[in-house]
Amino acid sequence: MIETSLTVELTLQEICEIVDVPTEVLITIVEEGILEPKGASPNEWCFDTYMLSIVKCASRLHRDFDIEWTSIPLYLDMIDELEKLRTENKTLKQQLGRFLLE
Amino acid sequence: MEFKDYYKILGVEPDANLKAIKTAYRKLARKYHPDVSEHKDAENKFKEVAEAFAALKDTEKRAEYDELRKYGQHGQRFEPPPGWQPSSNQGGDYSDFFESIFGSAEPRGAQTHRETYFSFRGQDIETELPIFLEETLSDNNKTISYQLPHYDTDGRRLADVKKTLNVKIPKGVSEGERIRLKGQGGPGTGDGQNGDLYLHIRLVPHPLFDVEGHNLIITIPIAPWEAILGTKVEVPTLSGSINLTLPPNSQTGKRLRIKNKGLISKTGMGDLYAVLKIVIPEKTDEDSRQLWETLSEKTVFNPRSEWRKA
Repeated sequence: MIETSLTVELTLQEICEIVDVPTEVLITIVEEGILEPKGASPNEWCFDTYMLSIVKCASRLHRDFDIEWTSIPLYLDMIDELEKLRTENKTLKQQLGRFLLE
Repeated sequence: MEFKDYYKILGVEPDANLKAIKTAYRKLARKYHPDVSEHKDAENKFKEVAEAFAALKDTEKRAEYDELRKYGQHGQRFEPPPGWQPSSNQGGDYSDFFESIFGSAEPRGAQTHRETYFSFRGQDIETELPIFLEETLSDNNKTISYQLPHYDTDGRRLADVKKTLNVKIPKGVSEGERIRLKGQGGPGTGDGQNGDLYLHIRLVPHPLFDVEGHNLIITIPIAPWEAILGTKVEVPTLSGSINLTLPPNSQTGKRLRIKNKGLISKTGMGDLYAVLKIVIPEKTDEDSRQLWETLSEKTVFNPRSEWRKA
């Protein structure tokens, strides 16, 4: 049996190693408030797996669409918004469906 | 292996210029990119498109491909002609077909400098894990199977290897959450570490309960007389049923909160909301019809009073 933990904590260095993202870019993503790792300074930052998935997304956007690193925070913000709206839309449609007849 | 017509995949003519190829790629990438697309096969579609673009954007690769294309047709079985030497390739997760033409990704396919010693981290694998709402209430043991990429010592990609793990999924997981299993991804090369396995949690839609954050919603159908007179209803929850008292004059759409019967969250238990929906019998017999008629004559009620305000 493999034990899993939801409280995985990754350092700035570990994240940059796993995902091919320059350190400065990751720092900007945090400075722009898109990720909020625990810890006061970059050396103390702790990221969880959700944050890791966002950094991976950043890396894919840069690679697959040639998006400049400086524009990445804006795209991440918009994708996050899109996800939220899609989830909300799905929930609302499902609820509405229980009231409407075919 | 199957021949892939990269021009067909990108929807361009075989004599298309680089600009047209780029435009076609970007358009399809926007449509199928797994980070933005809702297409159910987005990931595979995008891989195919990215691979086609990787082959056609590079003049040298394109020339090699054009040469081979004389021997194959889209979707048909294909073997490179005898004596074909794969050139070296700059990385990426491509199909057998691609790798048979251009070689597998460096450093794995380091055919040109085989003696050099490489250390690379293995590939991270992400796989979706469907979870029933009931299962999120307690720790659960799940058997997970997934495909791991496999390479020979020369870096040639072999058939994937199936790996099976027994994993404890902790209670309280939520939609979209990713669980990391360290070192359970693709094998590293040389001194490189193994990649990780990520389980992407997907909550399976429930026939009765809708999920709203950590709260659940259940729709309770009630008869018109139950709505007027009030009643007690046995309401199912994820953990057994409870008795709910509906007050008299309960309107359609009214939400009643049942505390702590939602999903587990980091801040405690969510709640279950019961939403009322008045339903009528499909058929009305003569006795009932007459009772309704009496009711309609004796009741002063304008259900469309809201319209007058408009």
